Amino acid sequence: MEIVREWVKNIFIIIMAVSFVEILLPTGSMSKYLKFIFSLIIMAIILSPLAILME
Amino acid sequence: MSVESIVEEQLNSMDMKEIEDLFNYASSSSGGIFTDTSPAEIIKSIIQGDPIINFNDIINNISHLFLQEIQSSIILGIQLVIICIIIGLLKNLSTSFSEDTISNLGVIVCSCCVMALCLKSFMDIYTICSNSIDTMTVTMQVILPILVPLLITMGGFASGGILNPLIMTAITAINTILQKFIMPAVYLSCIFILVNSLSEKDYVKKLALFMRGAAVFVMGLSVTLFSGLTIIQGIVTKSADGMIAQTARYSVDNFVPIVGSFAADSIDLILSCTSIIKNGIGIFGLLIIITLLTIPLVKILAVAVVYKITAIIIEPIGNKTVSDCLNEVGNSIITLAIILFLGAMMFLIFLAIIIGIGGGSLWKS
Repeated sequence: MEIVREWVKNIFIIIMAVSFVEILLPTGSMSKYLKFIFSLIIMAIILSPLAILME
Repeated sequence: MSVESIVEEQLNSMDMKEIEDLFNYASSSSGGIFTDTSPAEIIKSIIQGDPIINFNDIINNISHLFLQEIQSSIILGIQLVIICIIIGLLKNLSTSFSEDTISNLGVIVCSCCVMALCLKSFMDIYTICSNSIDTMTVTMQVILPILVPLLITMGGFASGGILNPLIMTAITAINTILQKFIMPAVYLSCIFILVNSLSEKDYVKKLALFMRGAAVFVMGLSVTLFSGLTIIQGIVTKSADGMIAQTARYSVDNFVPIVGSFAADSIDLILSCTSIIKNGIGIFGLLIIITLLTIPLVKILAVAVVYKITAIIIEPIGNKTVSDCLNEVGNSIITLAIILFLGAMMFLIFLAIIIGIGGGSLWKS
């Protein structure tokens, strides 16, 4: 239960932070690469319980 | 010796304070949907053939309650609509700001407000749901120890012996599954849906829908499993009981000289009186469960309707993500209502099985 709680909290915080940062980013050629990296981070957070299961 | 006097004598020797307390609690929280009654009154009306429930009153009361609940939760809808109008204004005004960034930031802040409002109301509904499931479980745990001895008294040895642990296990298990897995899953899916509405891009929508679907699936599976097992057990043990009771009656009738047939007839009379009491208490339990179910269900459905209507209203003015998110939150709330309904349904099935065993068919074929 504690793990699930931690997981949901992480997803919540990371998505909120990403949404804010994406808006505040200056529009430039690098912004779409940055957005891709943010998506990768979110994916990693969603997959993080797998790491606990593997151990 | 009349039926009434036997029933009255048996009733007087029973302790039913606990279920009466429960019913008082249920009817006081129901706001007068079900009028005050007691097991004794229900049993009397069964013997006299009076109707137990007055349908018109109940339907009137429920529709009244529904409108009242909609009125009390309409404030939430109005707040949501106002926030969405502000979002629409911000979007239109974005050309007059120097950059897009400012208006987008405003939109996100407004979305955060929507999220906070929705989470708060969802939390309330979650608490209502979990409390009512707890109360229903307690009700079942109070009624069963009263019903099962009555079942055994009227000759249902096998049924009483097997059904009691089975139903007790099922009730406890379903309560644990609901509180530890199903309802948290719906709650988490609601959080994901809300956080997903922050940006135009979908990050966790599929995850949220998957969690909700899994919760509904597990609920359906466990209800089917437990009630199916109990029904099969009930059918099997019923025939075994019929055999035992008939053997007893036959041996009293034939092996006791002279008074044997009178004794067998009076056994019949007393057994059917016990079965009337058992059915009366069973119906009383059904009434308590229905009362406990109706109020939260009406409340939850009223909030869900408010969410759906708000989603419809803000679709033309607000942005698509917020409207979709409100619609999905409405669906989540309806899912909670369905889960509550299925849980109560299972409790009703258990009581109905116990009421169904015996009746007049057990010892007279």
